[in-house]
Amino acid sequence: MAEKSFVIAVAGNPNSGKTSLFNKLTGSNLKVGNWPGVTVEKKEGKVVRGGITFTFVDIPGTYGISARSEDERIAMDFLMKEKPDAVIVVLDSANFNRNFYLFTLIIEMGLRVIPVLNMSDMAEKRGITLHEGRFSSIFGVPFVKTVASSGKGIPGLWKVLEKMGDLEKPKHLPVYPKPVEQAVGRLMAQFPKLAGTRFQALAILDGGIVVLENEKLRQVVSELQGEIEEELDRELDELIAEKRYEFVYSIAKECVERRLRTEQKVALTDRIDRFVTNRYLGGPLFLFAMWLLFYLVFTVGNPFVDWINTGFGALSSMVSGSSIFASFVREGLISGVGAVLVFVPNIFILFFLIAVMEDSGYLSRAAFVADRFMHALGLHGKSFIPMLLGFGCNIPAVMAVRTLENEKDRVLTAMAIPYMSCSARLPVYLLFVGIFFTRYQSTVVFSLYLLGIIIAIIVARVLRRIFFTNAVSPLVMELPAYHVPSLKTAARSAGIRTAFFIKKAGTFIFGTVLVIWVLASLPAGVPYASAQSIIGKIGSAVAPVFHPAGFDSWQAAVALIFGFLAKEVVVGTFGVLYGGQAALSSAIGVHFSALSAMSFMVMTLVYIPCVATIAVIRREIGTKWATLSVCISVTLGYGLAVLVFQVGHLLGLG
Amino acid sequence: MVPLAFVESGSEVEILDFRCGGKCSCRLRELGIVKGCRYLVSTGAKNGPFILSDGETRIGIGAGIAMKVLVREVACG
Repeated sequence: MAEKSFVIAVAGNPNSGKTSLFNKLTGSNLKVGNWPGVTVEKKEGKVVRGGITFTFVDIPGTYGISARSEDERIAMDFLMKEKPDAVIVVLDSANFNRNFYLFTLIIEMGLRVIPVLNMSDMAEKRGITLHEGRFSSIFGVPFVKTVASSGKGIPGLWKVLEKMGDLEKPKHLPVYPKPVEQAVGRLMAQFPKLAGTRFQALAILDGGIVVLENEKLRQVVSELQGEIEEELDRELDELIAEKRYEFVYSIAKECVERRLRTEQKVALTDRIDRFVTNRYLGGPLFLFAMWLLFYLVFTVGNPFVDWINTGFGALSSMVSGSSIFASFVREGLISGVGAVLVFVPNIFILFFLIAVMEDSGYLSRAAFVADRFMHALGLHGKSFIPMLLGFGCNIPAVMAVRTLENEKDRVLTAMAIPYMSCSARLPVYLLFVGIFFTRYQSTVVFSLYLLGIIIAIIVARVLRRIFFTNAVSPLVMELPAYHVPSLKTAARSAGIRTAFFIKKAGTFIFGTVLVIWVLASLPAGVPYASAQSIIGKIGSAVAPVFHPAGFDSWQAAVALIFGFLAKEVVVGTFGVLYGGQAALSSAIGVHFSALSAMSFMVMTLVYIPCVATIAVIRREIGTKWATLSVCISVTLGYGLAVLVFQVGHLLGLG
Repeated sequence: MVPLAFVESGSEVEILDFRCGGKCSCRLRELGIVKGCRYLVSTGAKNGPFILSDGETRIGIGAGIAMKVLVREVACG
């Protein structure tokens, strides 16, 4: 049994390597939950070492208190209100000034800190040396140099952690002009609950924290603000920030050594940016990158898909006989679930490439390039990242809206995401383009993705017109330097997400397919999956609705009904109802034409978010919006499918 | 003194003032955009977003804010 236990927050700027450090400290002892009241992911890890229990809490990356996004606010609230026993402040050594500004805020909160000078190798490469010894003697607390990605310096950090009991609070803090110091002193003494720390007193003074509930405090503060601004003839918020930066610069002067700057690496990022973010080239380059992404998803993935297909075919032929069990394994299990699983290679590659883009630094440029365009549509450039994640899976994409800074952006982005074509819709396209558009596979699929984006934008724009009037929030964001992405990390992240897909296929989709198989086999005595079976009757009843869209087979109706649960089920249903991969192609060739295949794909893209996405939308932005999202998508999906078919028909395409 | 939005890419600028609200200037400061600091405008064109870079740091600024950040051109490069 451990004698002592400490709660240690791991804090830092975004892109400071905070999460790698957290992972290195906690290993696999990870518990992922939610912060109370909100859906932002909370990662905690418990480690017992040297008789001490450490509970590490990974708090969201933040720059300070100006944040309006949910996750940054949580980070600051946790530090101020929960008061962890110590904070590991992860500092990106190569971006010293900005990272140290956050450090300054944290030490003013009166917390004990364990500063970590991370990415010290990158800093060295750029000719920057941080002298941890000098830092330690100025602040009276040990500074640890690390390279979290490779684990360098972690043992040293553990040594500091094991002596947590002796850790002092930092002894060196920024000093402000006398009137400010006096005001801080007065606030701290008079309102120990609301302004108990230097940080809180200063934030209340400079307007960073607005206290509404205490009339007396408000009075005192406005009095103090007036007096100080008159005496010093300066705006308080500006003055305080300036003093903090002076503090940061003075520390940098003592402890940071800059040798001749090797411009090479820096210049490379800027040189790439000159093309990638160019106002004329940026957009086309981005579209090309997207097209390349899908091209690779196919060309690299398809040989593997063929192998798996052959494997399932062989498996299916091994199950002979006409018993119910054999029929279930053949038509239900192998055909249904197998039809979904064959696309695992494509999905893995898609997730892998998205992770590579994210890790390389390109994804944040995409947001930047998209800003002007998004701005014109009433969305924030940053909204582009959740939307892009939607290509992988809508669920994490909708969750990612919490990184946006205001309510309006969060709502509009979450409403737009379901039209981003997720990986579950990909099998449907793959099935159809493989049959009808063999020569233009990637172009057709790419155009469907593009259609999704266009619809998403129109929906967001219209909703903004109707529900929101205030201006678009401005874009200020950090763009990390480009670096060669770690293929191992990308593979791991793609692996986790693909495993989730496989698990879903094995449970949820399996269950649905089972239900469809049972309904297709009943009532007893009818031929399997015939129009006389229960499912055939349900499908036949609904099918006429889809006549104007060009696909009125009852199987298609069933596929769409059950596709509501998860869009992978659409393909699974066809697999079950048409009897396996081999029969699937010829059956679909009979029931669809190239044109109705197109309208069916459009329908699948748009018609409804899956159950899980609806649930997440509801959790993130409320029931009203979730309901609206379903209504819009059903209407729009059906309308567009009919439009595609009818216009195509008029043009004599099918 | 000109808004950042009017500066050509490739120029070096010194940040002089912000003409946006308290929250927004606070955000800029937290990201390291501080009065007196010098930055290279590595990307930028009228109406478009801007990138200010200082060796290791790169901050993207949307067209809206670029109008509100006042700068002085230091040198052309």
